[in-house]
Amino acid sequence: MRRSAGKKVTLTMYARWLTVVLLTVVFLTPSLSTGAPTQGRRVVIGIQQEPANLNPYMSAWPSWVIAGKVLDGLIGVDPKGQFYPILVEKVPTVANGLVSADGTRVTYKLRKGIVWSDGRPFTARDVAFTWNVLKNEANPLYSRAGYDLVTGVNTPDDYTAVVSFKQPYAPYLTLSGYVLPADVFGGQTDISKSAFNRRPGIGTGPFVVAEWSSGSYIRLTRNPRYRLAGRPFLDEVIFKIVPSLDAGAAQLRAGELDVLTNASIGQIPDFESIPGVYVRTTESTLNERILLNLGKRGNPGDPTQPHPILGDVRVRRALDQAINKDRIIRTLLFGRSSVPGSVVAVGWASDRSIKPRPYDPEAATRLLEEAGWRVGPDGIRRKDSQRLQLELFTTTGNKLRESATQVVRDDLRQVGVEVTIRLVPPTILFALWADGGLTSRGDFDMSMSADGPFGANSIDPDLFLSSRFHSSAIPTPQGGYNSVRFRNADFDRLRDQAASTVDLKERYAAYARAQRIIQEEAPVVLMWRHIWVDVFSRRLAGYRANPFGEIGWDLENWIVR
Amino acid sequence: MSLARFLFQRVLLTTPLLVVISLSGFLIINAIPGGPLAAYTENPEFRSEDLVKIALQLGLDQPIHVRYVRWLTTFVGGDWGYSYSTKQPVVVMIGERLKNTALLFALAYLTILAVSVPIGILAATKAYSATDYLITGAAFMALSVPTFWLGLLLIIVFSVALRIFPAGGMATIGAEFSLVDRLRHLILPLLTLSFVTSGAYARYVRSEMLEVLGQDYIRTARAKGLPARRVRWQAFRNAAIPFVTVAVMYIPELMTGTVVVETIFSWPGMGRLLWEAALRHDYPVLMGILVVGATATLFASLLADILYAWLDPRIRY
Repeated sequence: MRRSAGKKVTLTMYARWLTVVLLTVVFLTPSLSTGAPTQGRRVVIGIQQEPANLNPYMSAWPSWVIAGKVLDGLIGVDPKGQFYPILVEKVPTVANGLVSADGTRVTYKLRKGIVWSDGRPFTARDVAFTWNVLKNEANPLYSRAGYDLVTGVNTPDDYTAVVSFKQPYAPYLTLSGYVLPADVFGGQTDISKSAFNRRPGIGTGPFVVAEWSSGSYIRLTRNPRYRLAGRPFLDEVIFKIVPSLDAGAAQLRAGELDVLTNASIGQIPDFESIPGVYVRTTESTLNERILLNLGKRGNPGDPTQPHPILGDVRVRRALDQAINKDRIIRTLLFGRSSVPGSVVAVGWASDRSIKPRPYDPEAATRLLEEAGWRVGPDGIRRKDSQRLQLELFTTTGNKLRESATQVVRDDLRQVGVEVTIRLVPPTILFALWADGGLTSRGDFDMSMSADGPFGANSIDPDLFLSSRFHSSAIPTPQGGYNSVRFRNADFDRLRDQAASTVDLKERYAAYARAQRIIQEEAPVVLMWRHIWVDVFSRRLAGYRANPFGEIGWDLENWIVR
Repeated sequence: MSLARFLFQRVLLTTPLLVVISLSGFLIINAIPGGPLAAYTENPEFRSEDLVKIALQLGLDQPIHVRYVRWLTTFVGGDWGYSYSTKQPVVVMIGERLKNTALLFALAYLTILAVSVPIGILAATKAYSATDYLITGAAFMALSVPTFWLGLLLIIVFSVALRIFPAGGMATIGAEFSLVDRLRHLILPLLTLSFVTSGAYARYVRSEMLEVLGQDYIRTARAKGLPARRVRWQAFRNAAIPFVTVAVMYIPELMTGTVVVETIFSWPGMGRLLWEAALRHDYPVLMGILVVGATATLFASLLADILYAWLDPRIRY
């Protein structure tokens, strides 16, 4: 009686106490603004992935974005795909005499008067040091391509560095994209364990890394000694790690983010519905394409035998013409892309005169008939006892691809080709031969994903073309990325020719013909230009899109309105 | 058998058990198709020669039993190895993230107990009344809600619409340490993490209490004139025994069960670390987390057994 009344009072008291505590926390918190106040001259950029480290030579995106604002390169690439000098006075070429006639010596004439953020002058010593670091085998570089051909670096004076190569390296202009400060490492060229890799606090760029809170954010602050007077306009840039795009959208709405990078294409309408943002799509150097296995399929496949169906170029051209890519772009990409004509879609090396084959199911049918494939009773073509049946692989976790493959399947059914869709995680599809990778081993008919010149080499097609289509790159247990098993003597010759000279005009002539061969032989079906989707708050201005650079390639020009 | 002897035997058993767990974990992780170099192969920049060099550097060319033994011997010696992707020491990585998750988890755990136990008891003592139906209904709804959805909903309501709480992160970036700031960042992830389990535990407590309250000895105690409060406490002590096992076994969830909440609220914790390491086949990190998680589970179960003995005088080891 009295005791139970006491218990009831206790529980009610408990509930009341709980309510009071909650209300106190809610209403007594000082200001109503949430999270990081995006005011003042500060920008918060959301990225989904944390970089492995901040040494741009030892990791990939997003390290290039962040470290690229601390460490300048010798030469840069503008949105039109033209090289321009950053730390050098002139882009070295054979024509202006800064590259020897045989292409084995490159002279970099450095700009004078540039200082590091700690006040030390920038000189040829730093450039020489960077090259020596890149040559040192102890450093786990992401790519050694080109650096393993360097025989030495000379510095005849404080503002001249001469790099000597064993043989001409055609993409020489893409090298040394980030110059390291020589004095920070105490003269050591083995920097694999240096703390600088986690916190590059000194650079010639517009910003330096002030703080890296693991798993949360990386904070950059302004470099007051930056070579362009008055820039950067921002005081601070925060790269915030936002692993969920949905949470990222919410943070944009709440004003806690100014930029969300790498949003998914399928969410474009959702992002456009957020007030006060601008959704920017940039056509990148990558193309979404379907690889066709020209060799006999198996685990492992046999590249010396042609694929019974895809070995015939008429069938490949027919597949290309039977798929309505414009419809896919219109419905799944919201019209924000285009069909590329060449595997090298953009840049100085791209042959713009190569146009994609038009969507023409009748022409496709004619080609298939010509190749001997007759329609069977179930609507699927057959030849001898073989049915025109193919498996189309693509990656899991990508709604756009899943939808696109279904359209491809339906389109191909119309011309009598039966397609089975197989969704496989990228870690299995693209794994090494030793790890059972499907495209590596040739255990596929068709595989759809995005590829193209990328990263530091986004402007130079040499690495891309040779590793994807050169006959020497046909996959073996030791490696090789020519997953289509393309073997064309003319293509090989043209590519080798282009790789042996540093003259851009000569290289272009060879690449143009090489691209035309790929277009005619159709070892891949080009689907659409892959687009980067970035969402910007309308507070920001001054940024420009650059398919050859990262978001923030021009961070020094960004302003907050 | 005394408690001390029991404890000694259990601890002795832990070590071989951990070896077995780590071995099977190692074999399974390595059997999964794909490997730590898959991330590199997706990048067009990469050349085969470079890949081979990296494989050698990471020691991936060795046969699997050699790699396991090497891992085991260095691990036991205190060297947990370096992450394949960040090259940081595994101990450092796990340590940083574990602190963050532990904070969130500990508070969530306390919240769950503070909410579910009184509510469960209340529902049981007022069984089949309006209060009970209300509580049971609410608990059922709570445990059916998907965590992902709940988290986003809370963000939409409290961060976007009302702008009371931040939408993510542990603290305001660049600001000095402030307890209030930290609490404000904790509330939404805390609510999301504790909501579902509170509902589940409330129902569990209620059903255990009901069962006990129906026992003869309770009726006897009431008949003897024991005050209602004492009776309830006695009932709870008995009901608590199975509940304690369930509640203590929740502790290992700390290691990885928070991944959804951490992803939505950008909380730099263990769950996300495990997820990222799993995607990248970062073997050293995965093995480190496996061992820590297995140890936590084994000790949690030991703790459960000890509490069992303390709560129930009839149980002796």
